[in-house]
Amino acid sequence: MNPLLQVEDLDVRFATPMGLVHAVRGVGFTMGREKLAIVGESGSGKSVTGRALMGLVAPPGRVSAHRLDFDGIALADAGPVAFRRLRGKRIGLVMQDPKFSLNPVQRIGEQISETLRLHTGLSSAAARSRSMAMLEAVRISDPERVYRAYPHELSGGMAQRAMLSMMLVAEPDLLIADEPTSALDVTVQLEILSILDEQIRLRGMGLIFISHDLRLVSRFCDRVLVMYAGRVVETIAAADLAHAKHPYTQGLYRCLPNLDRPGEKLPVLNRDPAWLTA
Amino acid sequence: MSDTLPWRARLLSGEYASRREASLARFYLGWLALRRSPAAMAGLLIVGLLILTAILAPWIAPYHPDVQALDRALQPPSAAHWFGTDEFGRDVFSRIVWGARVTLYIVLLVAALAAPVGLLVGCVAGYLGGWVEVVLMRLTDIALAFPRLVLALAFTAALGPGLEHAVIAIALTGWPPYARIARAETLTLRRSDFIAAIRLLGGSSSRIVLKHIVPLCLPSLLVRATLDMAGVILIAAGLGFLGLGAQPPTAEWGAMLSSGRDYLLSAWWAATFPGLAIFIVSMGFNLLGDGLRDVLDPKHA
Amino acid sequence: MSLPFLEVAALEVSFGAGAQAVRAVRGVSFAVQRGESFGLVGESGSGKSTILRALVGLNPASGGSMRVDGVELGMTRDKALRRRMQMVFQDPYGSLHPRQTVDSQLSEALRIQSLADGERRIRTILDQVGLGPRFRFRYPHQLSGGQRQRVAIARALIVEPEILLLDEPTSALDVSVQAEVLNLLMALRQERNLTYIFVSHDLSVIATMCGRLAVMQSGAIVEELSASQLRDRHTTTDYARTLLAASEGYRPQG
Ligand SMILES: Nc1ncnc2c1ncn2[C@@H]1O[C@H](COP(=O)(O)OP(=O)(O)OP(=O)(O)O)[C@@H](O)[C@H]1O
Ligand SMILES: Nc1ncnc2c1ncn2[C@@H]1O[C@H](COP(=O)(O)OP(=O)(O)OP(=O)(O)O)[C@@H](O)[C@H]1O
Ligand SMILES: [Mg+2]
Ligand SMILES: [Mg+2]
Repeated sequence: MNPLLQVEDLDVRFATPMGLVHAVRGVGFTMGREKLAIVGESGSGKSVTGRALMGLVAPPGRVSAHRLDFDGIALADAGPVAFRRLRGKRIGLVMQDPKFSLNPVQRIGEQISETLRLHTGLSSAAARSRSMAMLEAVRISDPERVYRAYPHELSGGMAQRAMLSMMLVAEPDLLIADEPTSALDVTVQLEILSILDEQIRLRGMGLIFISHDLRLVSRFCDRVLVMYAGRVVETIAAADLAHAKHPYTQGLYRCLPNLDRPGEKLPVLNRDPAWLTA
Repeated sequence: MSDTLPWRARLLSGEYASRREASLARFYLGWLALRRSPAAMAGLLIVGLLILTAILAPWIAPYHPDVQALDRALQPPSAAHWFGTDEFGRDVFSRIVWGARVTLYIVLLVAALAAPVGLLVGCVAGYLGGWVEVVLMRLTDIALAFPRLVLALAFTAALGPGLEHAVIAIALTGWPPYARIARAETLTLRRSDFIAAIRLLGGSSSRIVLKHIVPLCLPSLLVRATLDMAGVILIAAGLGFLGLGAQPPTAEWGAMLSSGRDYLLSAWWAATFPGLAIFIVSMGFNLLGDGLRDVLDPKHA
Repeated sequence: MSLPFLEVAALEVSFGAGAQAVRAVRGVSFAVQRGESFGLVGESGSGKSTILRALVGLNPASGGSMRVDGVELGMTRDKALRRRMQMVFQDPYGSLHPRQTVDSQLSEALRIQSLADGERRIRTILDQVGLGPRFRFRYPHQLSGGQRQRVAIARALIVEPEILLLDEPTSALDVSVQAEVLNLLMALRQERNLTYIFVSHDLSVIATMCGRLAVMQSGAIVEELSASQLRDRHTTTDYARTLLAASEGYRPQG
């Protein structure tokens, strides 16, 4: 089976008045129908990478790639039309900031149904019941109410799950989830992850899971790309994350607060200039 | 060259030394963005020319705009009269130059009357919600339901024709769209955490609306107002055309177009040049508005 | 035992009316001493944020009472009362005015509270939250998530409150920045003898920051325990046990 996504030498630059920001530098990876995590500190280029894979980098930004193949479709030099055909339907993106990405003056249910009808052409009644079922699937306890609610009437975690269900209804082949569970407590988080897992097992969906929660990633994902300053500094099997070789990855792991060591000052990351070139 | 670099570099560095420098930098970055769009620069050029022409009219215009010289009526364009003369022998070019003042006056007056009213009504309605919103927005709907030109006609018919009355009539029908935009923007803002943070510092509702919400609605309103200016010029011209706007002998483009129309076949220049002026200036405002939208309001781009 | 500094008794918060009403908070009671750090954990949608918003008067309470230092908290509050209690929101991207510099957001807080000596206060607070004068005239979009959260903390602290309500202040931040912000909050509390109510869904964050915590489920507190009980896994309710087990990590079924 050919890989779901093949990326070689992905580069993203932003020409700002303050000079060139080289946000992603030569990122490359190949993934199948698996759970691939991207971790790294804030500003390391995780979200920009995710958006570049969707063709969603906005104008001052320029994307170039030696190769960007999705399921045999070459996207590296394809125009916006090629991306638009895939976006939402075959590749889904859960944005980092749910409250910001949801329309504040439209009801949640309408937003989900609209996505669904756009991609499947279902009747509005059918779209409604599918949306409702999806909200239920992401463990929202009263989907009826949430369907009618505006974003500000939801808790942080509910908004995040609403956003996730909006992406999942279209049944994409590849889901890029940018910090999809950061506002959720562990119990719900685990349930959401098992839904994602189910989608991957049942439909063979591929998942790119962008996160800063190393503990979660190490248990949930198959493989991890560790990013620093726009570069992949380490690719490692998720299970081995606790024994990573790169000092940056080790540092990230040490910063985590520990249930059993309360009240003490947490170690912070000391950045080594050598990581920029390594 | 080298001594201009430090301030530019400082404005672009993202690290400012004072409040003034920070706001200066914002303007400068906006200006850089605007400069990238040729259409916006063309619009800016046209609007700038209009303003310059209006200010410098006495020096630019070769003739007095209103003094009649019937012996030179309806002369074709020539070296002496670039755009020819009208039926009273007045120099069309000079009248267009002086007419720029009238046009600018109308545009500024409408903008100064309609936009702030709309902004305030919309922001207050959007922020306070409840019955205040219902009442204000019903009022807006009513005002919006009046056909603009008809209301202007009725208004000038009641008060008598005149430029001021025409302007007031245009402004009266002009604010509802601004109120709607401002309300829509405010609705997306009123639940945000940064507004809540000011409330729990003890900020009053009027302070929140005036200092925090209005500045955020301003960009989209400014864009809309600039785009509307084209329409305002056309309506003012239309009223002038119907004889309800500026009264003779004031040089007003619409009125000039209207009186020139009678001689369209024999003296095409009397109507064509004012018409061109109206067209170019409204296009200029439109282009500028489009450019401003891309700079100030990236979400529409 | 001394009178609690902050006391919430039988608090009720409902949204909407009639059959559609949502009872987001159902009879919640707890008490916090001055200088204590009290944690709130619980499932998503269990009403944690709603309690904090009710405390600062952003949501109306439909029943029960809230007191600070013996003063009843109603819906209308004067500036002096507001000043005593400030809040840091969950989302550092939404909690700063997008078109104002750090400086103008801080001086606006001072102006509302009519505090003198603004120049010195701004410089001091920026220093304290670990943002030098370099950041003073930046706009939010020129700051990273962690830097924004520091500005939000600075804005809350500049009016010198006694109580700080923190709504998941680090859940949007990556681990290295989270560590910085948590260290900062621990240091500030000691320095100023602040009282914290700290909402988080991360038990290890709560264990680091708080001496005592309450576990919430669908609008009610189901269990209250101390940090040492948490560490020893001395939980009595099923939900708290699940939470603890879950924070050990994800295990795929089968
Ligand atoms: N539109 C833009 N213009 C200029 N620079 C940008 C733009 N978008 C992103 N960047 C820069 O690209 C870099 C990577 O940003 P990105 O959002 O991918 O970080 P991230 O790894 O997702 O961090 P976080 O964990 O905070 O979300 C940052 O340094 C950011 O400042
Ligand atoms: N303005 C509102 N209108 C209607 N319902 C609301 C409103 N605000 C909150 N709710 C409801 O109240 C309940 C509690 O929400 P709250 O934000 O307090 O949860 P939370 O415990 O903070 O959850 P999370 O961890 O996901 O942020 C939710 O069911 C939510 O839908
Ligand atoms: Mg990101
Ligand atoms: Mg919350």
